[in-house]
Amino acid sequence: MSNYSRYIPLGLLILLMFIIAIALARPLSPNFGTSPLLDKALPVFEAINRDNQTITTEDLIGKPVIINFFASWCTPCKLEHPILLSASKNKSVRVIGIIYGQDPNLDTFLQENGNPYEMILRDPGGAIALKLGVSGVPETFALDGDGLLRFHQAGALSETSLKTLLKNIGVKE
Amino acid sequence: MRFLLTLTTLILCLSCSVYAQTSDAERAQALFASIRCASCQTQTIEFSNAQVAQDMRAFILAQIKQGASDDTIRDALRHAYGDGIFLSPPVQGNTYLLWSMPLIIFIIGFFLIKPLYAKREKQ
Repeated sequence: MSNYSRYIPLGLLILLMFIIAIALARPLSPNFGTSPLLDKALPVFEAINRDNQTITTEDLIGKPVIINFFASWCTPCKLEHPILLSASKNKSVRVIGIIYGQDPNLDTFLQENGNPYEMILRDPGGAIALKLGVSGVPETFALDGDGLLRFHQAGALSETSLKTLLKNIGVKE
Repeated sequence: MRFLLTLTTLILCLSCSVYAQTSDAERAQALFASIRCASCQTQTIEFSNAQVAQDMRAFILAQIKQGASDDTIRDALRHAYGDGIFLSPPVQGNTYLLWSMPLIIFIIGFFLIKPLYAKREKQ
């Protein structure tokens, strides 16, 4: 074995350690990275709105729509609320809210912070959340006019992420 | 010989019956222990109090009650959350490298250590 070739395994080990270090250094996103549902059709579900009407997936398709999981007790939800209010002023997009879990203080929350939602659906048992791969609140999905999921974000929306969202679903600001 | 054959058959029958009697609760427990909590990540849903973990446990129990197989339940969660929802990554194309890592490290280690022994033998 030549002088240099005996260092090949050591070099490979260092390279391997380097790859592992890079892999471990990647930030863990709350929902393990990209949603596997992106660019796919919205999973089929049924929900009850605040007027106790049944809403199906089909009722949400046809126009670009933002689906926002939220709760009144959630601080990041309050932070992103102004962003959703500004999105709701855009007539080309619908903003639908889904209350994750039980939320007795919802009315107070909306009175104090404004209501950006065209419709609010209830998801007390988390059935819709589990179909969409939700990890917590707030979490936002957006569908284009064809009903394909084009945007997903776990955590509060920012002005930048709203711009990306609208761009992804083909809506002008 | 006959005694050994009878004993082996008896053990096999017993182990099969024990396997067949795996209760719904045991199935649920095994699933809980293999699924990562989506909001806490370092925990399984078995011990997590997060809302999503509670909902997942309720979902799994309901599915088992409805007669769904473990694979069906796993597929439903994989469809929404991806492979990252499982503590143990499935053996498939994009994880072959991961699963073969112990062997790769062993081979590299072997070639690292081998020259040291060769040197010692020469001395």
